[in-house]
Amino acid sequence: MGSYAYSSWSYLLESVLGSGFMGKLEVGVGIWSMQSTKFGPRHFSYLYKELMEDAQYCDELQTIKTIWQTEHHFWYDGYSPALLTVAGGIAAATKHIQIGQSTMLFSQHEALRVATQAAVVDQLSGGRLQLGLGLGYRDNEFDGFNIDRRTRKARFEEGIEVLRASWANSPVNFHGKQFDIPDVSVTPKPFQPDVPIWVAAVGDAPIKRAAKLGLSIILSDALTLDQLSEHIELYHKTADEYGVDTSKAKMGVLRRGWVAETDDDAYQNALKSLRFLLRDQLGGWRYLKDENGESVGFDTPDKLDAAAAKLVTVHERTIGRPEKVTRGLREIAATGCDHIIFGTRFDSLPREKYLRSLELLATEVIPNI
Amino acid sequence: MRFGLGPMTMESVQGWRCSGCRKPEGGCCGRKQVDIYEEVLEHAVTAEWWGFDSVWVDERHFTPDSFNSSASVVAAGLSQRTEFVRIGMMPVLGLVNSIYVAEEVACIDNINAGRTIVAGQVPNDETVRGWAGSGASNSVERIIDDIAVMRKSWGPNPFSHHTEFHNIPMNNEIHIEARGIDRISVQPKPAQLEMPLWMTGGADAAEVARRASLPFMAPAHLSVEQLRPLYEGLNPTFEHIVPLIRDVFIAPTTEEAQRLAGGAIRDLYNAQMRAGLDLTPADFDKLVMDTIIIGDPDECIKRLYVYERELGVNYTVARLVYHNMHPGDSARAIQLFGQGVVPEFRMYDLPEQIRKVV
Repeated sequence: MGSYAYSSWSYLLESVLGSGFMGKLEVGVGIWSMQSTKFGPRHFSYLYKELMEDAQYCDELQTIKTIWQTEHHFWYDGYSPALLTVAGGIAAATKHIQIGQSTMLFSQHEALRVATQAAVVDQLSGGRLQLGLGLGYRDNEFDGFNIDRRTRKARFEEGIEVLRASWANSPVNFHGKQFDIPDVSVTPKPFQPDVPIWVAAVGDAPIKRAAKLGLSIILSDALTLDQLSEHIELYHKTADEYGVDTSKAKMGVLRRGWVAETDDDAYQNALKSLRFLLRDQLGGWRYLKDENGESVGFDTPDKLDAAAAKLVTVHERTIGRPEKVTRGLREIAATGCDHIIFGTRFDSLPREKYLRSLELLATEVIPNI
Repeated sequence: MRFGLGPMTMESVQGWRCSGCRKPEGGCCGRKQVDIYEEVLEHAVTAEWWGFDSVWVDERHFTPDSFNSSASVVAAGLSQRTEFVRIGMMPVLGLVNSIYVAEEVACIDNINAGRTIVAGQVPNDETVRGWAGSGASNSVERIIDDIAVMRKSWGPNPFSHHTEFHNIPMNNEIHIEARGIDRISVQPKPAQLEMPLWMTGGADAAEVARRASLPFMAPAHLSVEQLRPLYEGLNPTFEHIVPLIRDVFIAPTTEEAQRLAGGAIRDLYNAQMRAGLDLTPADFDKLVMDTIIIGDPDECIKRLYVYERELGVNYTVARLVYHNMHPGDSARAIQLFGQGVVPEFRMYDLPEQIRKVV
């Protein structure tokens, strides 16, 4: 039985016993979306320049494990559409930090193209790619690429096979319903013999799907601690049922967070921007759900406000002074998570305070988890 | 004349001993492909320092020599490492929905704050075979359609595009009727108002360039007589650029240049012939005479003037970097080319006494 056996009591115990009780929690930061929003209308070159500077800064801080990107297409504010391309820039800007996607909307891509580009990113970065994949869900993104949204699960599953076949030493020769690739050898191969693949797992079915494949998972930022424990337990239970080796699989979760000298400073800096992010941005995508599990959007503003407010409380424990955030991360680690994507990218935050938050995270939180 | 460095290709053939290797005979420094990718970024910085106008990255698929397969990824890396030079990227068109390429180019152009040049390639038959499942084609019509989609993607307005090759957005009655959305807007837009778009390759690429009024950049292995028909009838609209790729190596003396690079370039061509380049070893000897420029600064200048005079070439992309050579020798060649050749073409009325000092 693995570390998934933690349950809700365990993180209470953990807070008493200290960090020696849990496994090592890796901390990555993100998620870089490169949006030029209504309230923060920046030139895109400025945003990409900041990304490269942030990547270098995180790299130099050394304790931050991974820098995470995120993807959408055809969104009004320029949401980053080409993650592996931009990852090439991050690779050139950095030396040590891992480069991950949380997530690339894999079903909206040609899997063979992802395989070739990922291999080049892995070579250019010296083996630092953590390839994070998701299904994608917005109708007009699929429409724009002339892909029937109803095929997204099949494209995802076949796509994983295409990736693995492309990076193996033999020719691809893959003939599925979604992808048909003859006996060609994809070159160059990635630098890593086994590029880590992460899967966005929102709900039971995707968690089981990832577990059957032994892939790392990235869990939703909307989950409570109890729900995190349950999801991770489901992953390991499913893997055990199918006899899958999950020794290399990571249990990741996205959590919004902010670190400042005092709790008050952190709240003042982060909470307003977090509410904006959750309500005005995620609301536009019908990302949040009401008490009945129904998606809510701008057409139901009261429910949207309530759902956003509820989600703010989930993240509240990772917003504050270093000691408080450290405790919050230990609680998450006690659920069986071993990688947190510390989501610090809020809209229109003062840059100086943002960099200070990263510094505090790297120097006063991560070493003490 | 303007000068670019490249195209960078990053191939790595197992068993290559790098020419000029500092290790004793029988051994090699053991450079791997991962080292070659890093060296390319460093060569770009060197070229920027020594006055080149651009640095170029190439792309091919399914090659036995592990040729770079993503111009986009490397172009982003080059963009990040450099400050001023333009970044030339040579994506293979005709393989997938060209919105993917348009999005990547737009991101790169923002990373480098408007320094991108795109030179599209027509895929060869083997590449099309590999990508057939994605609807690949190397017909001139397909490539022109890709260009149309990219231009619409980079333009200011939302668009739709329904042709034999693209269906944007999908004719999905459920979504379109439900939301009234029948166009898309590719975001972000490039930093440049008008993306410099060229074509590079053989006769098909020249035909696309002719029909789409784009600059055409011929490959390294064609002679003046072979190039002449390709460049005829072109009507480029982008500042009347006439670009050309040449395999060049330069050293203080022609003998040293040949000693350092002769074998390396021959090995490179042998690898490319195995990968499908339509040449024979006998052709290679002729290439050395006709197209490959190996020599001291005077020899390089003399040979480059031929292309300017005969074809009107005003933008030379000089390779100078061969990945089976020691990177230090390549870096010195970049410096010498920048000091000894570029001024001849850039500095009108350069006094002979200064030109001769290298």
